[in-house]
Amino acid sequence: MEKPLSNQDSLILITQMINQTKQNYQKSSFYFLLWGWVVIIGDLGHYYLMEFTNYPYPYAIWLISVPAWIACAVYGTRQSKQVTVKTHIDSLYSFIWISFIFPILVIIFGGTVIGPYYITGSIMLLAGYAVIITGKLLKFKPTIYGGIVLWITALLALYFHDSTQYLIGAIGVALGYLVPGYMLKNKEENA
Amino acid sequence: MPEFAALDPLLHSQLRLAVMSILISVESAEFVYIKEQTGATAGNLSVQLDKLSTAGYISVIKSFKGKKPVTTCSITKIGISAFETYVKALNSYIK
Repeated sequence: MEKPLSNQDSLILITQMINQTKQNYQKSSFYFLLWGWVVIIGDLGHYYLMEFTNYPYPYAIWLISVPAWIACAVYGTRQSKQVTVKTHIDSLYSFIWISFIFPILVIIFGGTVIGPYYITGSIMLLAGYAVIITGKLLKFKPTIYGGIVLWITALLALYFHDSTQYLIGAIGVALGYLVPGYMLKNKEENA
Repeated sequence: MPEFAALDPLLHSQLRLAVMSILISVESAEFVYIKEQTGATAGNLSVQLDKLSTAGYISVIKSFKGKKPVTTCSITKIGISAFETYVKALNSYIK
């Protein structure tokens, strides 16, 4: 490979290598589909338990997020073993969602202080923000629109101080998170 | 007559320049990835990575993924600065 390099060759080589590399980022639709379904099941389950049963702890349905966290950790570890390159987009992507965990925990466990009916809307507002930034990073417009849908449905959810907010939450997550997730999966499979 | 900046001989080589171009676009890349992207042989790539590492342009970390040894490379601040200077010099030649 050590043949003389002209200045023009150098520029072509630099451009080619940079272009070849910058399109390389890890698949992320798995997380969208996993959390999309977990939150929809959680929201619908919460609604069902509140409306149709006398179960005193309807929020216990959210324990389904525990196996989801485990699945996330297992998938993430397996994926990191397979990838041979880490782009700045990969790092930012992980950072956005890891930094999302702390405010979510504050909202959930601070629920008694801020009022339990503000939990769903507040989480959706935050999720909308993270989804929009993710969409911009991945240069994938459906995800950006999905984030806007999450914001709009978050406002609606904040307005309803009863179990209706869980239905709104499920609709918001289905349209703003799961649908873009499936579109992203489709894009990744055809890439 | 315009003054031309000298091109850094360490970067003005096809394989080393390819490696630096890859590393400037990512946070880190494994040896296998760089080898695939450049089409270089493992032996030649090792030698060139050593040269870049000795100059302080890249950092090379050897670790394990399970039982498999892995070499991960990333560009350093010195490397970024050298690469930018090289591109500037190249532009001055082409203009």
